[in-house]
Amino acid sequence: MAEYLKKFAFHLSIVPNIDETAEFADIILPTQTQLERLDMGANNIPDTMGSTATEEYCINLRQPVVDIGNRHHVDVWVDIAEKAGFLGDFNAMVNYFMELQGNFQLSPERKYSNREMVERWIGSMSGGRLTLDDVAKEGRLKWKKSVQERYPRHFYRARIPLYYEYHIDAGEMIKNVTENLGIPWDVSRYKPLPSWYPGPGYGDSSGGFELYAVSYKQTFKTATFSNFNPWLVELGRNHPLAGKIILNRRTAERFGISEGERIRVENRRGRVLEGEVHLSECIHPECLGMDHNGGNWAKSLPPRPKGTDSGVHFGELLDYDMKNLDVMDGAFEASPKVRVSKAAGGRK
Amino acid sequence: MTRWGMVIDLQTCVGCHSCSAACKATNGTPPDIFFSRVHEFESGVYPKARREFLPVLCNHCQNPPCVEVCPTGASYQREDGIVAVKADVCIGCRSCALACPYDHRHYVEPGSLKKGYFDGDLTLYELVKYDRWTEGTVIKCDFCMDRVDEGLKPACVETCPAEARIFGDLADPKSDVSKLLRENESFTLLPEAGTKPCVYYIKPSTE
Repeated sequence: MAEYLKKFAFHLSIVPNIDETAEFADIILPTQTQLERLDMGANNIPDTMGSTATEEYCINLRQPVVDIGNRHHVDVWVDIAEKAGFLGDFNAMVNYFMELQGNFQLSPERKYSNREMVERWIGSMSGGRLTLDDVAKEGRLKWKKSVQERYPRHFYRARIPLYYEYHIDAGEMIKNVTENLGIPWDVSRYKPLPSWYPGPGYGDSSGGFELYAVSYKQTFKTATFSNFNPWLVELGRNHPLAGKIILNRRTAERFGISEGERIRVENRRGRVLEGEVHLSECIHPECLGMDHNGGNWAKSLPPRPKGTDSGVHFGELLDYDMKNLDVMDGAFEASPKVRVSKAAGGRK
Repeated sequence: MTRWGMVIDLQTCVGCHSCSAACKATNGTPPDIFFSRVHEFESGVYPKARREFLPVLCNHCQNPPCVEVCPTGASYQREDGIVAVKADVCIGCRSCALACPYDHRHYVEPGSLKKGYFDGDLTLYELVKYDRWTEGTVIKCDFCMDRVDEGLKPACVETCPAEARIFGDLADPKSDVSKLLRENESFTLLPEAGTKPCVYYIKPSTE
């Protein structure tokens, strides 16, 4: 990833903490954390995912609990848009994205604060009935769901094609563009019918690379952010799977690996990670699993609870190159073939 | 007379540990002390294997051995069945911890309330929450009795996204807990200990 980020000519990070990506930035602008921010619609569930069983539709208002002088990232972007001369386009995008109606739309030439945008969004959504102060009292905007809001899919008038004819046209357009730019680009996958393409390592177990590495989330963790929540870290420390490498018991026996040992996992390109193994019957014998909540290393992150081991970092096993990218949908190979062995030093 | 109790439905528990986190957030227990925990284990052999979960907390027993052995009367049982500890009377002898067959008594080590979760000073949250605990005494789950007395549910029940924890009056035949126990096969932990727990479990599906 470090090599990849070096390819960018200029890198701006607007962050509350200098995280792993920001470590590589040319300029870092500080911004507010969730506890300092005013955001409408924080943590909302899209209507297509919301439960049909809930009586009310609800949009949350995230309100600041402290003000320590940092600026909201939207206000920082507005400044940049103004100084770089694209404030009009920025405001047009806000109008489109927030679906602002009538008098609540932003004028192209005026500069608006994040607070004003939230104010206008609430006004637009409620048809002028509510203000930010009204919503702030309860911290949310809610209303009884209509039948359509409860069962939205029934009301979608979409056609689901079986034959994606436009893929042929899209492939030809991309071919023209990439040829003009002199970029070699494979468009053979732009086909109108679903096709199956194996991942780069599929079926090839030569050299001992016979396991597929897979990743998942722990139910109580969200990516690496959770490593800074002391209660969740403590739960992880007492959890049989969190931060560990999971291997099927019979597969482990074949490799002479036993419960609790430190093992070495290597992909075909020689990328390696080490961690503690947990043997399980709940994983396929050809797979090796680990959660993807580990790996923080940036120096300026929030204080981490004492004794925190952030666990294995699944991303270490992924190769970010064109060979591992599906040129049709942009998805990276996320189940690389790996081989395992006991780590030097043995048991943890 | 009310008899507070809990039914934990192992058919719906998804092992998310929200109960443990909610308990921490509400009670602010010191590091390494969990009033509410979730044990995990596997059963079967691949490909017919599954993960199983067993959430545990103080059982608020009808015959609480922890109360019986307390030499000072710090451990007590309310008329509604909730077992609690008076911190100002507890001398930290830990007889209760030895007597409890479920390992739900927790000793607050001297100095532990000054350490907290992070290096350096306690956070504001820790300062507020730790005020409730006393070093050198034993603490335990009290079914969130302050919340219950206000008509609220215990934090672990309130937060459970699967609604696997149901709290209510076991003495009331019309309560949800009584109904569940009538309609489902249930068990309590270590019945042979003779403690008569008030936390019941609905058996997980064997399919």
